[in-house]
Amino acid sequence: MHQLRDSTTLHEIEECLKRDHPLLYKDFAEMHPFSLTVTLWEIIQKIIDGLHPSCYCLASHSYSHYLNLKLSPAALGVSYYYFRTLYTTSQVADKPRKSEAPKITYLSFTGFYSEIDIDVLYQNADNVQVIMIYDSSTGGPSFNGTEPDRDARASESQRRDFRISNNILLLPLDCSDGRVSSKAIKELFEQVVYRAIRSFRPELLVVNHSFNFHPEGNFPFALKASAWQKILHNLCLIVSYKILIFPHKLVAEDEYALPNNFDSSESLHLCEFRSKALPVYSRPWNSGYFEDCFVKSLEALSGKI
Amino acid sequence: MKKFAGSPRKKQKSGFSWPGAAYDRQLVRVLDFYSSHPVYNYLGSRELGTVVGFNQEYYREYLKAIFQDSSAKHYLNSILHVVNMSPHHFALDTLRQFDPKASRCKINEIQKAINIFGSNTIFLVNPKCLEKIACEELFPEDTKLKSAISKFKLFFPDHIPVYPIQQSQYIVDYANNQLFYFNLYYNGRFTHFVFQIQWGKETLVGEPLEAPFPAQNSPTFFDIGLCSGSNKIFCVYGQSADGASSTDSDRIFYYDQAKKKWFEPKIIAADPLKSRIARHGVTCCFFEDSGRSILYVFGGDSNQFEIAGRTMIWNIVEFYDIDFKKNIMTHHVIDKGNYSYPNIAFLPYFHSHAIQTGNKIMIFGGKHFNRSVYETEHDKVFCYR
Repeated sequence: MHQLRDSTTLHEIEECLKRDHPLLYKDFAEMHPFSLTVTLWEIIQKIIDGLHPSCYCLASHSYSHYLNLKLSPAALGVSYYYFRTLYTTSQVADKPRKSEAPKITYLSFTGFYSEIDIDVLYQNADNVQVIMIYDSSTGGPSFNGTEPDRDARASESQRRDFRISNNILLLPLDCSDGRVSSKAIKELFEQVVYRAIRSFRPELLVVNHSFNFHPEGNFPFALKASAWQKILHNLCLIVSYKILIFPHKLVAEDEYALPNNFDSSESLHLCEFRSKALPVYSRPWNSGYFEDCFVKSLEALSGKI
Repeated sequence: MKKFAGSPRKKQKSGFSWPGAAYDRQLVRVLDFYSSHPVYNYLGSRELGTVVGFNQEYYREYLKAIFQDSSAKHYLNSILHVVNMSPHHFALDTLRQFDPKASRCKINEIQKAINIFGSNTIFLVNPKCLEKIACEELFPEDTKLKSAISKFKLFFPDHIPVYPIQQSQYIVDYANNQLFYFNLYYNGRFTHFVFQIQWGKETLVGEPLEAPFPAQNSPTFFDIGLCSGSNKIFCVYGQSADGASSTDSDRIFYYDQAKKKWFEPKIIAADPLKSRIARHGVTCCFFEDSGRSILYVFGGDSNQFEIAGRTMIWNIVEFYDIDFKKNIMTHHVIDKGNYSYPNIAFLPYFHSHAIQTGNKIMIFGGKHFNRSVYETEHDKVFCYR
């Protein structure tokens, strides 16, 4: 890692990754993840500039390094957008300052807590609002002040997320009584999420949803496709149809075609996450449900409802 | 109570609990955490208008459990919402001064507040008793007047107490001894109820209106103008809310008590150049004169028309000639510009109540704006038309 930090040019970084951290190289620098991130940047820019009204991405990608276990490509895309907007060398005179960059709301609705998404998103910008709705058993800071944070970086201190930015809205839900129903999710959106987004007034809403909340099986969330459509319709109205949807789901360890190094992690939280949350939240997509959600999403995004 | 309908339902824990209790408690705790947050502090303090209506079956036991267990501090924030959602809109700030680490004494104070403000009680004047009382006896402290007032407790059909919320509205049809309550939150949605008033009884049990109002698959309307007459209840204009957005309405519906059915009459403009303006909070009055049936509509509020960021209060007087047989209403607007005096008073304030007395209309109360003959305070602009 020291060598990586000391690298100054892109070439050095790439070489160092390839040599010392091949899985990180695979996660960030190989053609597929790289083109995905660049594509997301372009889509984000076009939606913010008003060239595209909204977008539903049918792309999927999962990362192999244990540090990236919970990383979403959408978060990386947003972060890269801010990087390109704020820090690249061209058109220096037109560059907005960090606090003047376009406002983006990142809605994480995968069911699990992802500290790396938060870190990645705030790496390059302040003007991003993160709303994370998740099962409280999958990690996150403690809200009663007595329990320790369950976080891959928890050793650094409690409530780190809230020190990163005041725009972070974490909504851990207790699913221990049974699954959280469509009705409860809709009410949560109506009473909390819509208001938070409306208040922030983003120029783009990025939705990172796993689309595997189908009612079968023993899963902590059950969201009917019709309920999702209503939620999305309301989100469209709030952000004037400037929405990017990126379906992202964890992949079960035995489904990885290429090697990963999840075993190498020494973080207690990541170990617990691997053993308890990963098997639950990596459950396969239900093709019928996904198709239903996809069609209903397109109907909502195109203003057909 | 931040009680979210459709919460997870699985198991009941020992002691007092309800399905999804862990989910609710966690959410209360999280939103409570944000009450001191520099950005999201408003999330924990909203008048959660739709919350108190459901799971009433747990409500009383819930309160009992709270007050029996003074260590249940984190429930206090929930209680504030219960109080805040009462029809009296008890000032939330007053209760905020209570320390979350409240002592038993403070909890008792809150309990007292709930007893006062969180109520399913309604007071109605019995018109027959009132008729027997001479005018000179009608001063406020007179016991004879008090004897004409009856107190009722309202219940839903399954004996769940009715706790009206901010969006609820009612009108009493004294001719038929019926109380119509609109937009009560019941079984997870806004529902309209009719209560048959039985003088002398202490409880009234509501029945959902026969047909959906205003029509199936239509949005729910709030802040509607209400009036009654000719065996009908009129619902005039209003505002529909659909999650993120709200839209003013220019539709009129009436419920025919004889036919037990909702009607939406066709509206024809007497002067095609004078269009109707969608708005909410109007004052209306059903008026009968020499065989004519007329519906007067005054004023109203609107969020739709903005001038320099300010919304409009409409000073409109309009009326509809009603042909019930053909189910047609003919719309007329009174041109106040023809009046001889220039400064017509702000007529009326919106949210007033109007009744017919002889061939006149008497208007009571309404929202007042201090500077207003022509212009209102702050974020409203008066629109003279």
